[in-house]
Amino acid sequence: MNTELLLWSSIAIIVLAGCYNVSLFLLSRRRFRRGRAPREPRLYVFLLACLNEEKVLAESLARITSLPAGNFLALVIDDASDDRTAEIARAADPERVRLLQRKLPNARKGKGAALNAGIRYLREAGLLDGRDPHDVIVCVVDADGRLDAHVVQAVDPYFDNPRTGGTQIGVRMYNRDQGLLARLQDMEFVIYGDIFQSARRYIGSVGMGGNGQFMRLAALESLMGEDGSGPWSDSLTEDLDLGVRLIARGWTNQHCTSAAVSQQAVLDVKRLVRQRSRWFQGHLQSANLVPLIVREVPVRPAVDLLYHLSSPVLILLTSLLPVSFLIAVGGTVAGSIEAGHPLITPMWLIGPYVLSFTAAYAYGWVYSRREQGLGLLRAIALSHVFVIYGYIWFVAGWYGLWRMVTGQRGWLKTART
Amino acid sequence: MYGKPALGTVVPLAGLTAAPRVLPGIPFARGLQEAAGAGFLLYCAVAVALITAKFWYRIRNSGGSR
Repeated sequence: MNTELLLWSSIAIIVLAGCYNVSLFLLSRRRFRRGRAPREPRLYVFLLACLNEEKVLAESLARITSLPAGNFLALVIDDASDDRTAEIARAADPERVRLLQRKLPNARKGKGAALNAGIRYLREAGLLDGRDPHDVIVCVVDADGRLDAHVVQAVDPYFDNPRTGGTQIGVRMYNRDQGLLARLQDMEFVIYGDIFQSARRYIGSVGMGGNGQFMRLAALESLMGEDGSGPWSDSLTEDLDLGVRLIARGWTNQHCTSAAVSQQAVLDVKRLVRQRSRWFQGHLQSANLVPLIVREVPVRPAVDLLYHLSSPVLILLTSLLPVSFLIAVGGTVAGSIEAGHPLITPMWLIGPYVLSFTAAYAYGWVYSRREQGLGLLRAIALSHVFVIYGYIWFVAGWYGLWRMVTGQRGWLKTART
Repeated sequence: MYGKPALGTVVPLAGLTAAPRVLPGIPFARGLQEAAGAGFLLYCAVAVALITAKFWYRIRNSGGSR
């Protein structure tokens, strides 16, 4: 095949990503207007799927039970923990906190299976008796999740629209002051929420996350099988899967920018790569949603969802380019030494800087608006590091692909510290 | 929940297309870039097929709600 065509095609990957990022950045800056409708009193049920969460669960439950909202309860789903998870749940406010203990061999089948068991328990225990499923909102919170105190008040108006199936809130890292890696993860989630998720409200393709995911019970029930299975799938990224299936069923997903859940950032690069490889592998598994999207989702969100679902392929392809660049730079430096004069022109540095780091200025500006104490200049400097941090996906991507090819589908749970 | 920042942050290799082949490592670097380009062409072909199928479904269902 024509060599020049292939070389320019590789550059087209960057152009495509750049155009997409700029478009979503501009879209995210539009003011979002929410429709107003009569308020309905709703029951909020917080689901916490827990596997050995004794280090973080008590704090999360304390936050939930002190929410200034009237009508809510929390269900701790203990997925056969070896530690004091169940004990901590039992010690919490019994009026507000219920415990479902799963036992092996039925337990530890993944987060989706645990959440499904939670929904079944709510029904069987009669906790939802007499409730209209349209007025019951189920919220998935990680065991380390610390919800903003005003979260119910912030999310509730989105459900005034009867078409709203789910609302995702922002995600922050509560330990973001504990080093650069934690700070970069916080930045990553802020940028994802404030740019990409916010823009997708206009496209109709907002995704659901694994933490801070609020869903109308009626919407969840519309995803359940005739045998009562579901609504969550056994995918490693059951949240992504659920969001897409809600859209395919005609529900609208919303993103709430005025409330957030804070979780624990991973403080170790090796564990971070492991976590991201699981997400990557789950994303690859979600390729099975493509026929559903093509058949059921309207064109505009369908195109965006297809791009989103195919991003692992683009990441793997893109990962070849920095390797190529480093080899080329190394070779040219060696050639310069041999030739006795520099063969690298300033364009070798200026071009890649402009193409790679221009986004850092936009990211820095967005982050500085969330993190007022940081200041714009520091945020921009930090976002230069964030650009480099993005390379972690290349490593995680190849690791995730290797796990998929070798048939490893286990739940690589991220350990708490 | 990832990818967009990473995709926008890769160091591109526009300069490599004009780099002399005689330098050590350049043929390999060029090969990597060509592999990425070939993969992207394949990606585009699949994307066009999927979008065509999407429009086919839309036309077929045009009497319906969407």
